[in-house]
Amino acid sequence: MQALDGVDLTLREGRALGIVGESGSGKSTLARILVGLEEPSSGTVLFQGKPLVEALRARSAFHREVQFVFQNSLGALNPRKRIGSILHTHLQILEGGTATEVKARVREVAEAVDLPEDLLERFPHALSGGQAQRVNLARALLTHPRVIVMDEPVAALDVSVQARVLRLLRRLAETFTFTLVFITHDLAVVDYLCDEVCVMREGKVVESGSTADVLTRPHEAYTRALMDASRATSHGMPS
Amino acid sequence: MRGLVWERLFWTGPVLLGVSVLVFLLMALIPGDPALALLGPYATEANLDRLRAQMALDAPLWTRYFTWIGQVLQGDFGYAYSVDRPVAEELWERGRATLLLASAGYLVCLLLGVGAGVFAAARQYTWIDRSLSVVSMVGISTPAFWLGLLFVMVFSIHLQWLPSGGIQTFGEDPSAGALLRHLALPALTLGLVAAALVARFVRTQMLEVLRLDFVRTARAKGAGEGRILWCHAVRAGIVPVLPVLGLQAGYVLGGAVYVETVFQWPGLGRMLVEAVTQRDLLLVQGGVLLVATAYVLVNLAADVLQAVLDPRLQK
Repeated sequence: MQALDGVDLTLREGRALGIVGESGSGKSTLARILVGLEEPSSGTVLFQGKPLVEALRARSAFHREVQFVFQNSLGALNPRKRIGSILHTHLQILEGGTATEVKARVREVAEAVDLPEDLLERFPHALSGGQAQRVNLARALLTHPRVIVMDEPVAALDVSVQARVLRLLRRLAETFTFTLVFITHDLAVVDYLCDEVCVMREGKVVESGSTADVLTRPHEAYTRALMDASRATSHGMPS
Repeated sequence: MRGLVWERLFWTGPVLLGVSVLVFLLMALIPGDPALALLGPYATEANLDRLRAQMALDAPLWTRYFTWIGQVLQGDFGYAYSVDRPVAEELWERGRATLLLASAGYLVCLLLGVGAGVFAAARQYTWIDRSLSVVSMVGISTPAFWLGLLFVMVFSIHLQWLPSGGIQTFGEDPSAGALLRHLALPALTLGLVAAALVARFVRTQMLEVLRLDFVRTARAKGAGEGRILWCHAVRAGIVPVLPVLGLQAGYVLGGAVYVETVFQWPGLGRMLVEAVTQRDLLLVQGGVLLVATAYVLVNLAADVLQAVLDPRLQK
């Protein structure tokens, strides 16, 4: 089975790219390839002009610059570690630094994602889905990454929490400078958050361009169908 | 956490009380005359009557039980007529030998079982995984006493590397090296059979954990495979296996009965077999109660350890 076929994308620094498509369209596979979790059977991924395979060899350097946020916010956190420990260890491994520096950076980022300090003492099972996703965002932001890949980060959250997390994401994208790859099945989310969009179907890119162009003048019937589906379900979008 | 420990400790009492009632009733209701079994067919009626009176066999069942359990609670397990010494002394001596054998067997079980399970899961569907699966299936289906006899045949008779039984060779000075050589085969026999089941549980659990999102996250965050396996996956995967490890500790204690008989190891298992044959009621009751107490305490420790390692189980 071919999950991806002839995907050709350029991700421009500082921009937010939304990758949209229904389940099975290959968007999550593409995300996993972008962060080096899977290797493509053919073709190349370049990161800052160099093949990704080479970038992955300098493991810490690559993972400092490229971060990943999963859909399952609670499942992405080690259930046996306190939130503070998860964040400290992550930063310590990738960047090092003294305990005071690490603590200060964790506190700074926790504040940026609206995580109360007492929450750092809790275990993941004591968090709500929205709080857990904010922890994941904090973890992703700790190392000043240049790229963050998010695979349906709000899909598992309820509507009101979705809106809050999306508002937070937009604020973070303005405060911290990073390039965002946002995987979703919801075009309304892309419209709210992304500068560019890439529509995928059965492993192929069927339409791409600036979000404004694609959403106002969609060329493909599939894109129009996604837009209709999105209009029917996007009642939880922040204004 | 303290609440959990107290709750489990609270239930330990009734469990042990139940065990004491069961073992007492089983021994009391077996047909036959314990006095006759101890003194032999040529004993006179007067001697038999005297021993029956000493063992309080003519008293009602419930009086005998409460007298026995009352004495046990004060540390007096009674007198073992078959070995002509107090039960407590015999239990202390035999218990130490069994503790040594069971600890060594359990160590083998932990090292091989957990190691093989983790290794197989980390290399799922490779020839290593398949070979370990076959070996563990064979291990699960092999009776410990048969494996023991096989080891004796190969390592003691054919290769003559290790002694075939006992805790010490007659006429040889006791030393740590000699003890280890005597311990090797019975400990391996006990440990290997117990390890087979542990390996299968650990493999299944590890495969489940290795697919969890937090492991995938660790990989996406750049953690090395060794760190992912040992710091994240094993720590998470071992917790649900702890009750199985507790049960296997019980298996190792219980398995000592066969293994001690095969290897003539002077432990509780062999002592119990001899005591049952000779109908030495107090020795059997004391021995079973000691093994049951150890079993309950090991499982209590496994439960507490599970709660310590998994914050979701802490109230």
